[in-house]
Amino acid sequence: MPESSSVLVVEDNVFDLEAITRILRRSHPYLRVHPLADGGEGVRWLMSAARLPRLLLLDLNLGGKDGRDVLRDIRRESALERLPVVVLTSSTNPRDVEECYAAGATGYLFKSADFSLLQSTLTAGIEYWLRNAPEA
Amino acid sequence: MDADAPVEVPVAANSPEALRERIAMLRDACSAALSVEELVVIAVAQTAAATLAAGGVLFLVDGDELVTAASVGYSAEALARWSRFPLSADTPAGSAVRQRRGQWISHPRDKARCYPHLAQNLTGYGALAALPVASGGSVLGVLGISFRDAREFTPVERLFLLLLADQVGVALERVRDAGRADEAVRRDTTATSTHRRLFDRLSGVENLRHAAAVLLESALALDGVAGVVLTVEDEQTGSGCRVTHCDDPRTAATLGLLTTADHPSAGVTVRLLERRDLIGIPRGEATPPAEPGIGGAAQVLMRGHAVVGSLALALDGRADPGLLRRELLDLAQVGRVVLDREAANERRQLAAGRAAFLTAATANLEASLDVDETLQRMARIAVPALAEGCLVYLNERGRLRLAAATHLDVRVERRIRPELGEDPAFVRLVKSALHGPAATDVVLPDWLHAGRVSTTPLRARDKLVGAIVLLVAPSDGRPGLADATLMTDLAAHAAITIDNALLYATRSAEVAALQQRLLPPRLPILPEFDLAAYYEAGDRSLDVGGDFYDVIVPAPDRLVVLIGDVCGRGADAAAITGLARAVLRTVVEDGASPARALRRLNAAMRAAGERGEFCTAAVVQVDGRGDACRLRLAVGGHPLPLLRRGAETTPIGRHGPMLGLVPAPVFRESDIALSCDDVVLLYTDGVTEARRGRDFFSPQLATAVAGAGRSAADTIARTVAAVERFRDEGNDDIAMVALRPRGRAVTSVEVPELGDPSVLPRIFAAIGEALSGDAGARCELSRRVASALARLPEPPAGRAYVDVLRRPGRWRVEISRPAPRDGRADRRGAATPSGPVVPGSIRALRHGVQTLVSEEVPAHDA
Repeated sequence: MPESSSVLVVEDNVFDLEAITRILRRSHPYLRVHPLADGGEGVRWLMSAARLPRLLLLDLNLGGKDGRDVLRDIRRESALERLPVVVLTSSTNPRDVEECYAAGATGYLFKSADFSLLQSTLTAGIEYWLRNAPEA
Repeated sequence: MDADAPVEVPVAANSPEALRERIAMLRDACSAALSVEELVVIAVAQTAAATLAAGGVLFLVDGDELVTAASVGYSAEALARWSRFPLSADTPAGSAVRQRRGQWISHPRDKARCYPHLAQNLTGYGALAALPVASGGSVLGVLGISFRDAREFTPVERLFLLLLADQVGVALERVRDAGRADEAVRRDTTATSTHRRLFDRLSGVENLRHAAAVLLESALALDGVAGVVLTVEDEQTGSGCRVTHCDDPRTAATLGLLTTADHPSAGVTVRLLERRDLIGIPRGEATPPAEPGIGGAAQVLMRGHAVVGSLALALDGRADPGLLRRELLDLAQVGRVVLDREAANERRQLAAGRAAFLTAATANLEASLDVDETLQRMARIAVPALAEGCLVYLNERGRLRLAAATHLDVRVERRIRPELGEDPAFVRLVKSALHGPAATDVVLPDWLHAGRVSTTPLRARDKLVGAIVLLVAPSDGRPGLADATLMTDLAAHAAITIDNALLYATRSAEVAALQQRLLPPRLPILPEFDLAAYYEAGDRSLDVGGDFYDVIVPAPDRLVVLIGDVCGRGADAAAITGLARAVLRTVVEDGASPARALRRLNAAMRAAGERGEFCTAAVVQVDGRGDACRLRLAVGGHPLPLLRRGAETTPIGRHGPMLGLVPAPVFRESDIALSCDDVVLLYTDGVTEARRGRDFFSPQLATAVAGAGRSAADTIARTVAAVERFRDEGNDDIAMVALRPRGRAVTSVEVPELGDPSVLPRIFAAIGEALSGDAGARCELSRRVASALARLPEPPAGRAYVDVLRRPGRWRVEISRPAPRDGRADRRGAATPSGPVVPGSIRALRHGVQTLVSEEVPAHDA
């Protein structure tokens, strides 16, 4: 795994962010994890990054700007159209899923409150996207 | 009995649990030993205690000799004689080492026969067992147990004693390993710091693969090592990994083969091989086993409690073999512990993850009765926890229908339904997996990114309800949540949920069909009578309740309206309404008067009801044409109907007993003349007993009726609206029927579409035909009707009725249309448009006609 691979995690809940970061470090020790609590800063962060991350993990229920709006903002930028954005949410409602897909999500991960299940989900999800996402 | 014959003496206690406990005690005691010296003493003492032996001794192999390490119960002379002796000596202990089998001497004469040179029995004991103590394929020593008396060793006892010896061997190996590791650390300070650094690095690993990578790097850093392959496997979960660092493919391949050797039963083994040894490894090709410069290899096999690990190293010949062996032992000892720890962590996390997944999946499965949506939610949780994609098929009369599909990647998910769901080849693959070995000739499309497909059948109540299909990525050795146990549990939950939902849907459909039969029928369209009705079931989960009504035309000049209320609520009451309505209709059609009809119903209720069902009813018979009628009515326990005549609204009729209560009730009929535009309203107590706090609607009913418009439909509508405004809760059935004589019909025309331009001429023609003798009225009436039609906001679509009527001194034209039958409101909100009707989805029924135009002029014909 190239050491330059990184993941941007947009999550405003400090406990969830810590759990996600811990999981990613365990499963993919060579992956750099960039946390971002403010979804409104997402586009600016990405546009100013020297190298785009391999993947953006986006919590849907952000406190400030809603995750769906962040997603739409990202997709408006042509430079970011190929960036895989995977939504992370506790909802399994098919309508929510469709809404995310319509907004431009590349994938959808169920965010469990249980650490072990979240670990399994994130590990497998990250592995898939690192294997199949285009290089930035 | 021969005094010298061997006797069977049970070893300790013969119960399996007791024997197991003895072995466990010995194991626990030996595991506490910190040195070989300690261990041998413990082992002998524990063995003697476990077997109730008179004496015990442990000989250890030292080169080609056996040396007494510890003993109990033997004389000094015997110990002195057998303190050290050659392995090759013809002794029970020597035989045990050479043959690697236990030696059982049951009687002194057996010993004399087998070992004649051991003529003198120094111990004085009657029987003995010599058990090899082995570990990792090597015999480390012999455990000797002596019994005072001659005895037979039963198969259970032999097994027990051999297991005891095995435990001693395991403990001995462990202590020696630890001792060697400590010795290596003490002897070589460089090794100690390396050891420490290795410990530090391995303490910080995040998972099994990370630990393997660190071990690999550490092995590669040793002097003389040119390439390394490490494989690790958790034998319980089947997960594992292989890490390689080797520039030459041939060498890497050879090293890979070295890692596939059988592992020791416990602990660590290190083997150094020369280049010529590598040649003997079968590789299936004639090329050299390694690149030039590789002088040999090392094979390190580790077995922990959870994992087995194999390290194969290519050596360039620069390293000192002794030092290398020690370093590899250190590495392997530490590595084994760390790999075990990480594997145990992974197992714990897997178990917790599986439990959490099943909890989440079950919660989603039980959240809704909409099968497809429920399965879609479950499939969403399953991805990627179980696999990269999840499809759920339902078995619908032998045909598999794709009910849910999810994938990690939206681009793949979007393609699954249209391209894979109904694909015959893929469905064949799924079907084949459900009924036997999966078909192997189906190639999965590349866009799926799936390594393989795993199918789990869904079975409930002995029938196949569907299948869960997982799209599994090519294995990377990481353990996954989806094992056989979890899939079985998930499938069981899903199957029963599906079956219950389907059963509910079937029952709902059956209830809905039954209800359709019980719903009030459409009202007849009668030119001379304006009829309207309203029905609302109190139980929101059903479409029908205990109220009922009907309108029967038993003869051309006779109209019978009836209404009733079965005591009770819900489905039980609804079932009785069918009986009551059917009985009344039958007797009315046979010509029964209102009172007689009620008496017949009373008898039927008493005959049919095992549980004492009662009802109330009112029967109103109207004889005559729409301009001059007579009304007869009888009431049985029911609210009296109302008669609105002009500005006055009054109750009519005489109270009678409830039906089904007494064997011979008396119902007194009332006889009333009914004029054109009088309105008779029948209703049930759901109207009068509508509540707001402690107040009832009853006192306001007459006012509501009096304030309504002329038509029957308007009377009903105003009354319903008044009830809705008044009540603060509504859980009783409501039924109302209104009747208004309109006049005697002279001409009636039915038009298919009121807005059609050809309708007006037809209306004029009908008026002309009816008023042929009253030209003045004809023209005026035609003008008024045309004007009224023009004032309609827009011509309503559909069928309409044009009736030219005569009432005393006046001509009338009324244009009406069938009122919309029901106000269907889908309470579920998210139901699919094509979904089945669910009981409770009908909010209210409205029957009858809606008067659109009513114009009249004075008649000029006498």
